[in-house]
Amino acid sequence: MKTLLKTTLLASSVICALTACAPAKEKKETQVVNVSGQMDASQLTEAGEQLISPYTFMLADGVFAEALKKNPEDKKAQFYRSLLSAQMPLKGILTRIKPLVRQHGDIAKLQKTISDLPVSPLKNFLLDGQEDISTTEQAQAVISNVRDGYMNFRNFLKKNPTLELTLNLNPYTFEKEIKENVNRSCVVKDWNNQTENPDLTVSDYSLECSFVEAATVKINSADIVPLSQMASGMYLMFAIYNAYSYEGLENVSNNNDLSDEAAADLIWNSPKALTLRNDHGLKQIAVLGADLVPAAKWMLHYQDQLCPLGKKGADRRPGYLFTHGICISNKAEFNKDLAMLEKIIAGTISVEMENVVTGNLEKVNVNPLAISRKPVQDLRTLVSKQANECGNRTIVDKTLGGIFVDGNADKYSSSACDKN
Amino acid sequence: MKTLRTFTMIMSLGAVLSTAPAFALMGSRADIEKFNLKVCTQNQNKCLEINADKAKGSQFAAIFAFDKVLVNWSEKQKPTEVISYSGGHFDLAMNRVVLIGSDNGVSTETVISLNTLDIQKFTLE
Repeated sequence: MKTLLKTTLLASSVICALTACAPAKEKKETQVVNVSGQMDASQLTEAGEQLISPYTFMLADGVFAEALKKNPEDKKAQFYRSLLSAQMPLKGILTRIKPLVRQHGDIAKLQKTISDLPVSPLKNFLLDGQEDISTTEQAQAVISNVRDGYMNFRNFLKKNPTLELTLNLNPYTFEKEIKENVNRSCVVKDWNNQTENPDLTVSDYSLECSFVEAATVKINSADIVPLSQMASGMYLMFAIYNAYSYEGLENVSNNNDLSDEAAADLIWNSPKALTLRNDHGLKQIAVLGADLVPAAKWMLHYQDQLCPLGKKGADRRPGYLFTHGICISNKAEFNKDLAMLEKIIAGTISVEMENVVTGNLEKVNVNPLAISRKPVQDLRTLVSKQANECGNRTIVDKTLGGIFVDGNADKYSSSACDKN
Repeated sequence: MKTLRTFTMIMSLGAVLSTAPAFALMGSRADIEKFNLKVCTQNQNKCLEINADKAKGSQFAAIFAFDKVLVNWSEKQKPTEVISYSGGHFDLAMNRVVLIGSDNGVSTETVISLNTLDIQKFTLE
């Protein structure tokens, strides 16, 4: 603990000058956050709050942990710890992942990422580990931990729906927001009549500002709802994309020249490829309840972050393990489907789909959440390894993992041959 | 749309910045005393009335939350049903109300679409 506190104290003054990645200022400013074992829980929590920044959040987490040792009921410390629980599994990740990147990625690129990171507690945090991730499965286990961190935050919010907190913003990290709060706190007053008149154009007026709460954010039960929806969105995204094993797919994704047949050979010959992972987390999706639809909207919003160019293309996210990103290919279609998702979460629904053989619109019974309620063990069992005469794969499991409850998926999928 | 900014006063906090979304603070929040909302289907066959002493506004999204809420369901040729819930929220963006209750000690969420007055009930285990 002593080491932690010392580190926190020493580091924070340096870090806080770095935090917020602020552009060079004419006057060098530093912030000192004092943390000591003599402080009580609420003092520690307030000190921890001042370490909330992209470069020092891991120090904040340690301080909140100490605050909770002194007072396990400290709601603010609980809030921050649960919030940070999705970030803490990334400890040492840049070192841990090296063996895997050496085998399947671009180690020079990773080294450059590391050397470009400013010297900071964040850099130490991301490098503080052993080189122990050599398989895709091990990398996916870290992603599962991040996913569970979001669920942890969501569960905290669900257990504390009436939580009311006043968060104190770090003046360096949130400088812009605080300035805006200050601006918003000013009211133009009529000098003569002292009546509020924001449209005054004459020069005879005064400006009244109250800066008392400019550096704080108040959280109430209404704010807990969108926070919970957002955490659910993150969980949903990680659960969906991390449910099945990517083991064996590394050589497929890294080789753009691979023929369709050769790619299929690699996938089908890899014992674990596309099999359900032990900690898949899909069953938790049903527990998201009322959050599911807004969560899906959040997931869509994150697509803008994850797919910055918004279209398919090689190396959209240079430097990342999954350089092709994680993208929903047809966003307009997905948006349209959200309205339907409202109905879907209740169970089986009837939707109109085009029969790819006849071209007619037909009513089809589907249960899209079946795959989360009873996940398919191996996605490869859904389709044939060999492509059919039209160049498409045939659907083997006609229910497509239980989604098409009447076992007629082949009629409505492009795997069937087109009537033309 | 300004709905997305200060979340990350909270969420970007520790988030690995490359993937952290940018959020917005909506500005000032507003609370509503004596919240009352009445919605009927087009043919007036079914009506829903929600009453709460107070609805608290969110600064992040168009959401009002209530601590305790009374719901009146009236349907033609049926007696009006009054149900109390321990909490819930009114989501203006999605035009729905979510009510929190419990069923034999298990938390439940009841989602009512204000477009159709369709109800979905979730049991959260």
